[in-house]
Amino acid sequence: MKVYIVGEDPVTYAVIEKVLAFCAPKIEIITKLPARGGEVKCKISEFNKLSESFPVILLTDLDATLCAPLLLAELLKENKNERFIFNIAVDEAEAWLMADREGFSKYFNIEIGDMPIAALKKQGGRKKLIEMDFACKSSWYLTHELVNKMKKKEHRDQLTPKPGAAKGPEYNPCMLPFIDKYWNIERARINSDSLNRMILRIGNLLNKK
Amino acid sequence: MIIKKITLHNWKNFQNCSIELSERTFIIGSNASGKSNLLDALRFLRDISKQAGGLQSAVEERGGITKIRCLAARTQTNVSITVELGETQETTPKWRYHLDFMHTGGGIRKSQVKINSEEVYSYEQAKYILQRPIVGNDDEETLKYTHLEQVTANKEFRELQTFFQDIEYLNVIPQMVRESSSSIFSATKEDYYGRNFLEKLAKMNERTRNSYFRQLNEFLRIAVPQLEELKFIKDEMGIPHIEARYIHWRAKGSKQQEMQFSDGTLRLIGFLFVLLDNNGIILLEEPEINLHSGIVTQLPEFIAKVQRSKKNARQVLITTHSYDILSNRGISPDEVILLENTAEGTSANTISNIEEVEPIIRSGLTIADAVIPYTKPKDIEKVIQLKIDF
Repeated sequence: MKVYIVGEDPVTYAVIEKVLAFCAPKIEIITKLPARGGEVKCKISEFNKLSESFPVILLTDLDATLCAPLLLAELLKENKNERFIFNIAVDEAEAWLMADREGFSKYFNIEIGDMPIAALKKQGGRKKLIEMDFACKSSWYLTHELVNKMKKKEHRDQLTPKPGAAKGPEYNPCMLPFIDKYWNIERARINSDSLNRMILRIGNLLNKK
Repeated sequence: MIIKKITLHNWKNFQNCSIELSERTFIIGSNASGKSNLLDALRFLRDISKQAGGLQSAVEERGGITKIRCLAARTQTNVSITVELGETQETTPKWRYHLDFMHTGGGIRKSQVKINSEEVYSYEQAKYILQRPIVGNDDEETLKYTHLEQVTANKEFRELQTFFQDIEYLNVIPQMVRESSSSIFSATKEDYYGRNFLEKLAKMNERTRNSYFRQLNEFLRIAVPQLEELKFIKDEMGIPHIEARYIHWRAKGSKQQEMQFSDGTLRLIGFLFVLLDNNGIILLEEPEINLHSGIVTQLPEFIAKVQRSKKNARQVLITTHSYDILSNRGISPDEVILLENTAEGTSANTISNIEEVEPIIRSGLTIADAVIPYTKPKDIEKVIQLKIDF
């Protein structure tokens, strides 16, 4: 099966690719859309239409919206095509990465006790779901708090943002090898319901063909 | 008249390829996919047709036939180019020109090529005007020269020679404009527009030149507001220059010549000039280089406007990697040719015919969104993960 993938930045693309390699290794990625990330949300309707030709697997961050279903309703006014696999990382793809607490702490040399933990949280719905628990945005927590607990100077230099910058100067070169080679999805999905559901959605897509 | 179709056989990275061209065509593809080589096939026809040109020198300028022949070519050693020419609106072309040639062979003799076949077909007359080799007329020596390059032989299809002569290739190298009198080696002088740009201006009829500068100034007033009164001058030695007033804190600003112009300004001037001046096909090599994205965004529509304003519509072929150009909503997918590397040489397709690209555009995304991710190297993100050890 051939699919298009849609992400926000190199980290979300890498996460989609890794998830696909994990649960659907036979899927072939046609191309990564759009040409410039960060435009995902304003092009939702186009991606929905595109999925009539080939399935579209999209991953975006929850950002400020209260809950995932609300975000989807807000962005997509028409009916969602069943081959449009819309995934929202709660609260960001970075939270999914840290959800593999063991792998993350080992790769970045952080004491396991210093890693954030998962908690049952209400996302606006009735049911409590398990997600990583952060007091702020997970990527901010990673680059401003957790980074100080990393034992290697190399990692701290790569990830700590310069004044006024949103991310560290070598954020992607530092994160991508972790996602590619060390991030353990089996461990991470236990701590993140939103990740687990992305895996289930892709499984459903494969069964439907 | 425009070139409606070009068919290449063993030409550089095109082993067998047929490409439909429109009046304005954008040629895209990854690096080293053959964009410049496609343009070079047209420059080759120009080099055959131009004064003091000819087949042998056109081949020689490119380093001999071994540098032209496709690497994917196996047993076939011939190279051929076929073009169909006609009016934009007409579906049937007017002319077809076909040239097929190969190495003369013969060891230590000078490396030359011989013509296997040269044909001119007129669709209006529904017959061949020329079919070589002509039995009893052509011999080993005559087959070294095309009839296209010989005014005594091309009487019935002179239109083609003139048409090919007017092909203009533009790739302004700012350094070349600045150092036009230096000894930097340039094998294809007239191509790397710049080296002879100032000379060209000097040779031009004064009234025409003034009119062009008037239009140039109007454009520059908006695009580069700190430059004023661009004009052509000759210094006391008679050497041509372009000069403009650079506005700054002094009331009158100060005069600057091409030596002081920025790369972007020089490229913009060269680009505008060729659009205004040329009568034939214009080949634009990555016009986005050195220019601010705000200016680049305007290029597709500016080109369309210039094309419409001339009496005879001129064809413009543009190679580009630019997001800003390709996100213009006025570009039709029929105007975009995508080159892709395959084991059997480069393939070329209009993007409206590519199964995996066409739906992206149909869904409402821009051509840039459809083709830029599609043509980028699959693992390009890996370059930032490379271990760098100096």
